Amino acid sequence: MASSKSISELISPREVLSNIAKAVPSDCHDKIVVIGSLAVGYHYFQDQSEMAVRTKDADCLLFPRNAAAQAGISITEKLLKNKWHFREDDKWGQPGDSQTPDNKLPAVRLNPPSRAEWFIELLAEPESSSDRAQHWMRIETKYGHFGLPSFGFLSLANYKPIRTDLGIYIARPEMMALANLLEHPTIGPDRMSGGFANRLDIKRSNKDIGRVLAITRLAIGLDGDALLAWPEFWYEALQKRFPDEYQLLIPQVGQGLRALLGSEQNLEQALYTCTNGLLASRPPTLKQLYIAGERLLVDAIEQLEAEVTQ
Amino acid sequence: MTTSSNKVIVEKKKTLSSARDLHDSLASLAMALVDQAEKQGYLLILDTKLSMPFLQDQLHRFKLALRPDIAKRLRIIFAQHGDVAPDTEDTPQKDLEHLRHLIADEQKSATPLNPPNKKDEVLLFLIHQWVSGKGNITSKSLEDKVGCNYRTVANAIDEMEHAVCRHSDRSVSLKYFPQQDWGRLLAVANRTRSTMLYADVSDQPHSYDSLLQRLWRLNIKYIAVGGVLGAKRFHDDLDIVGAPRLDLCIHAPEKYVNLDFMHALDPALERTRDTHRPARVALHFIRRKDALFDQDADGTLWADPVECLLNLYNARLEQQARRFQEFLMARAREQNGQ
Repeated sequence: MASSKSISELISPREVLSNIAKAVPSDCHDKIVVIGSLAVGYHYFQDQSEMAVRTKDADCLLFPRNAAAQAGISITEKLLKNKWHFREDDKWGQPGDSQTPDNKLPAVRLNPPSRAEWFIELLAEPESSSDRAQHWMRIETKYGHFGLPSFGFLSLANYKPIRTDLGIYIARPEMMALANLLEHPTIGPDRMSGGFANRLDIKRSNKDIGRVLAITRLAIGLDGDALLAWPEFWYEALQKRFPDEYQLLIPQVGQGLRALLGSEQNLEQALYTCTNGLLASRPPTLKQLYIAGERLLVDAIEQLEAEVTQ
Repeated sequence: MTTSSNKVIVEKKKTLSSARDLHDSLASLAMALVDQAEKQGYLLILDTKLSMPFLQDQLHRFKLALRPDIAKRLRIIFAQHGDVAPDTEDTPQKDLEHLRHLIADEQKSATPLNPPNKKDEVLLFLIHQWVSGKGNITSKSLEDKVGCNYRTVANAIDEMEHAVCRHSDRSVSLKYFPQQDWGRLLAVANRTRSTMLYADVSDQPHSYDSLLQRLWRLNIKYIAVGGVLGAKRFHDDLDIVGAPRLDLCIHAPEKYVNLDFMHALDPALERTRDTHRPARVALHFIRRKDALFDQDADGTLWADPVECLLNLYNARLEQQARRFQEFLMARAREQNGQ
């Protein structure tokens, strides 16, 4: 088993979440859901201090929508006051002003004082479940103007989130998996901007569905029957978040995964992202990752699909 | 099995062994056509030892007993080499395509099994009768329970003459456990019984409890639990902790068996022919007509004790198998007053 010290760029989810919880105003704790691989890592590795994940961004979704702007302002101002600094970025390294169009506003991406290996990024709960295009919510701080992005199926990530002992929330891994599956009904051609762990050919779809497979393996590792509980929860979340569309969305849940499993090239990319990410400590083989996908289809996705075909 | 689409009703027969079997299938199809006046009815025969002229003659005679509007919509189609046999008369092209799909689906899911040894099935049935204290059984009942003819039953009984007690009402029973015949059966069982082994390839094997729950949810009425779990149901003191593998007994009286359920049970289970590789699941095939399964209150099907005993020997649990065998023999002697 690899330790965080033996593999460079691996960070401890508990340490990062603890830093975030301490750094943000305490009255914002109940408005923050950490999503992404840190949330997955915290959920599955929290009792194993030596387990780490390879990521740079700590994505924090602010909710509910009507409180997101105020929470975003409070958090940004407190972090900047306490020497957090803008992440180095040629294009987005400075705040905007009142003249900056919404879609040109920089996101809040801040590194902790004297640390560059990870940064916090603030996002906002989408305004409408039916509009899944990217939107920017302007926040006006005393340091300048920023934008809180919202897009796609982010509204699933804060469905019944799990409250941590640190006060802030993490997204349910199965909800992040569902959001990622819906985000990629096909294997799109877009590649990861900036590459992934020294590879420039990794497609975003393969990385995101790869994360779904990583969550699947981690979930089965804790409880062999974990996936069996997902379809009921997914159905409930889709009904609540997308009351007019859920019956159309359900048949799309497994499309991207089936496409990925049908292509060894795409599956290999997914494996690469897993072994250099959430599954770095216990990397599976290509076949084992494929089996994880098949189990997800049989235990969860086909059961969900049966809800609309019956 | 009957399938129906917008335009056709198809009665599939995997094997057709007698004229009575044919008449039953045609009657079932004709009754379905009474209720669905717009549809064509096809009896799709996938395998039969009966000749085509005989079957066509039987169809002709059967049609004479039907209303004309039903008779003209009733056809027999044969599968041959994975396709529809050439002589399809005036069957519409769309219907032929539908039938070809059904044949292809059947071929995909059908796994062929070795020919059954019905004499061994007679032996197993007689042992089961004895260990269960069920008393005498007639040759006719044995024919029906095993699904074989009189000659097979007679030969099987002749071969174990020393252990058989013949009664005045033409019934038979065992005097004692036929160790010699049992030993012969065990010696060839691995080859003749087509047992299939499955290993986990995920590195995250499901527990046996989980696999059992999944099997229960699949609600398949032709699969029972055997092996250690099945034996412990009869003899809880069996000296083994946990189960080294899950033994499933599949009722497969036909030549082919559908194993699609294995994927639904767990996609991580992969068939292995390496008997030294640890198997997670073993599939055993029960070829007689009466599977002798026992259903418990929650709906789980359990294999009979003799099948469980065979499974233990197959798993090379020699010591536990001998203990279980001794337990069954002692119980039998007590129940049979011997």
